[in-house]
Amino acid sequence: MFFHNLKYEIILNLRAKEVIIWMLAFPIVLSVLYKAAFGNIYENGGITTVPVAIVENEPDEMFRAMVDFMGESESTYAQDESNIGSWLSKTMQQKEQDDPQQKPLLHAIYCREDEAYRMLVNGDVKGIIFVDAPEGMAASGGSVEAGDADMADTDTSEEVTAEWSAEAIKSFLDAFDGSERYQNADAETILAGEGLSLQDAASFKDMLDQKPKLSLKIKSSGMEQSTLKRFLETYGSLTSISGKLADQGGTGTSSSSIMDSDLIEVRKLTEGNTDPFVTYMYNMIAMVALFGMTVALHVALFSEANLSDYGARRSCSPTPKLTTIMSGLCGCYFTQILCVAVCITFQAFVLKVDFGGRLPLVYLGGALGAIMGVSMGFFVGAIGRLKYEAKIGISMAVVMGLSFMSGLMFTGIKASIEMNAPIINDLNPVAIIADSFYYLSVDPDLSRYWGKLAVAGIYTVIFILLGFLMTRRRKYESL
Amino acid sequence: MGDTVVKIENLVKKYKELTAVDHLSLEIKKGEIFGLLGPNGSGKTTTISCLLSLLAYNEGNIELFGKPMTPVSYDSKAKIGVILQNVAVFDELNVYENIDCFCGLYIKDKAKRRQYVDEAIEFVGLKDFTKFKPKKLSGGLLRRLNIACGIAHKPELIILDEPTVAVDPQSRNKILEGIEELNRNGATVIYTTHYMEEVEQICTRIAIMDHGKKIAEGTSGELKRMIKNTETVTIEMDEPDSGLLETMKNLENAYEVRWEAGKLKIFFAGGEHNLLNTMDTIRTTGTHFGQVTSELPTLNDVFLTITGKELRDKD
Ligand SMILES: Nc1ncnc2c1ncn2[C@@H]1O[C@H](COP(=O)(O)OP(=O)(O)O)[C@@H](O)[C@H]1O
Ligand SMILES: [Mg+2]
Repeated sequence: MFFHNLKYEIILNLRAKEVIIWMLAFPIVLSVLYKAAFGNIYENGGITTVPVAIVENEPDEMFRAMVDFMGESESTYAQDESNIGSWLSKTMQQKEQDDPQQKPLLHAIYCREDEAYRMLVNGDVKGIIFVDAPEGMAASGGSVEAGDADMADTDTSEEVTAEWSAEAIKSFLDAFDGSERYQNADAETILAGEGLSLQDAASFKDMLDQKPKLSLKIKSSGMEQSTLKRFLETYGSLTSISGKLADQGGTGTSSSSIMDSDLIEVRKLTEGNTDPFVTYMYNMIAMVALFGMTVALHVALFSEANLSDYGARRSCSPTPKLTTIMSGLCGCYFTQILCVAVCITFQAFVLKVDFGGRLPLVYLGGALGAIMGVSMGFFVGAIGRLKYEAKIGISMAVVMGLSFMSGLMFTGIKASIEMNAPIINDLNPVAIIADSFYYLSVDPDLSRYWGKLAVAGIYTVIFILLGFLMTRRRKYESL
Repeated sequence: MGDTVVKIENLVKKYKELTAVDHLSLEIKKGEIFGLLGPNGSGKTTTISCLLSLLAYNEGNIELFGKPMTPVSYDSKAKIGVILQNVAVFDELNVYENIDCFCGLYIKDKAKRRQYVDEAIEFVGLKDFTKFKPKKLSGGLLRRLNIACGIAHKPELIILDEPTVAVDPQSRNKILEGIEELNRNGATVIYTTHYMEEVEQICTRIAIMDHGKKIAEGTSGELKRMIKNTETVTIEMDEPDSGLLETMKNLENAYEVRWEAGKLKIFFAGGEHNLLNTMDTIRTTGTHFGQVTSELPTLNDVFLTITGKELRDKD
């Protein structure tokens, strides 16, 4: 009975005009249109030099060196540089020269805050990076003084510091350019090799210890803005890696390990997920998945005697209602996953949308989204005596609304929700699925992706349970 | 005969204030075509829904095939074929698929099911339409498809709720003949309708319902014998004088004479040759008259006599 029902359930779904239109034609047409409108930007998206203003409330030479490495810079004021700073810059620039093909990623303009804002508003720069004192450091001068006082404390501590710093420099170089230049060298050799004094080494330790608080301000979302964000994220992970390496290799006196998220706080004026084309495609897959709601509305309808004549007819048969519902649900899962898979395949292989080389996981996320959508539809379908047409209307409105909030129509919406009530984005099923794709494309590890999928899983379980709760009755007061 | 297939005892079903079925008891034997006759809103569909355990009811007992009927009486359900009032077929499936889809709820075996579906298609005369989607079928053919969906699994008990509403006369006859054939092949039938002609035509026993109550039960003949009238003679004529009216009233077996709208109606209770006697008498008075008809009582007369209102709604 189950498979017989399942077969007809799938046939019914695939023959339903609404399914074909909303699940297949609609997203494909939309994505083609969108590709036509925005695809160009996306296509040329390789690397463009992004103008950015940098406001140094607390100069950080490590970061400055990294900016040099990633591009070209100019300054509206004279920057003072320590020995270790110029060493870093040199190292970085050398590395850059190794790779002459590369276009500069950033065009950095060091300036004061007011100038930066003016440029941001005029569109001369795409974002402002603020370099502030690390969390917990009171004033800008304070950290240096504290550091000096520390070092001057005793001879032994100075020795340990030197030892550790040399090790840190070695680790940094290893992590940075992969050459294991100072394999078994002692501290002095390393420092001599790099032309640095003990004092320089100590300030390098400070540099690693006192990660600046970096924040990004952008005016609108776009690919260039997301480049900036990725740059900061890359910077964060790179420095923390070298920090950790130093920890392992050194004497263990270093500061506690540093998490990326501690390091960078991206303050969004609007939004900066990734470039809008890709964001849009992610949202669209999420929307198609959630459209499963409308597909699944009939599951309860067709098995409940009080909801439809089909339901009455089925209820008269010796096939238990649970079987009818289960086969209905499975049929919808199948159809919906199929539709989402078609949508993803079309985007990935025809429109060549970049899913960060993790296509199977994109399919997985899409499938779970479909399952969540279908389960939600099952629940809505089981609600009381609302008219079927009303349920269709409600589901459509819900999916459209959620997609809207997730930024399908205007990417800015999601950002302002993120600013004012991030919990809404965390709970919005469309945003959950879209974000899982986003994390897939930017995160090296999958923890945030799995996190989103877990939430989707929880939703699914809740809605299925509610749906079954509501369809559990066997006799009705009224038909 | 003899085996009781359906037993309803003292069924009461209330929708809030409204009592839709009021202490109804029925017993239907194997092999019967049992007619449930009543005007719209008399509680036929509600009775059927309670019988099928779709509806919860307030009082009473229902047994099918000698066992209490519950929503999980799958054994009993397997033996029932249901054709409900509204057509319930899928627009996306063609004729064959629709029947197969519903038949599959009863019959697991594929080969057997294929045979049953073919037979059902043959039976309702949809052989030329197997690949048609319901939208392409006329009202009558659609009803036939609806019936095929309910009987393909060869049920022992077939319940039809107003299967001929909005059906052309040709399809209606085909449906009624089909029901009789199913019955000849061994099925017990419960047939609800508000068309008295239909129950008179096919039903072996009839219960008449009004306001949720059973007001009469029996064969068509038994029901008609419940009322005084056995024959009504109608004569087209000008208004008769009181002498003529008196003469007619004195006719043997006549118990009432009425003149209305250009017609004289003479009601007889029992006896034979009432029409002949009437004609002889009227000829001797030398009265001019037009068309003469003689009508036997209908179930409508039965209903009218018991409830004081017409059974048929003016549609
Ligand atoms: N779901 C319902 N809720 C309230 N009243 C109902 C409902 N269904 C039927 N009724 C009422 O119950 C009575 C019997 O209805 P029904 O069984 O459909 O009659 P029939 O089938 O003989 O036309 C009618 O008065 C009808 O209005
Ligand atoms: Mg009815």
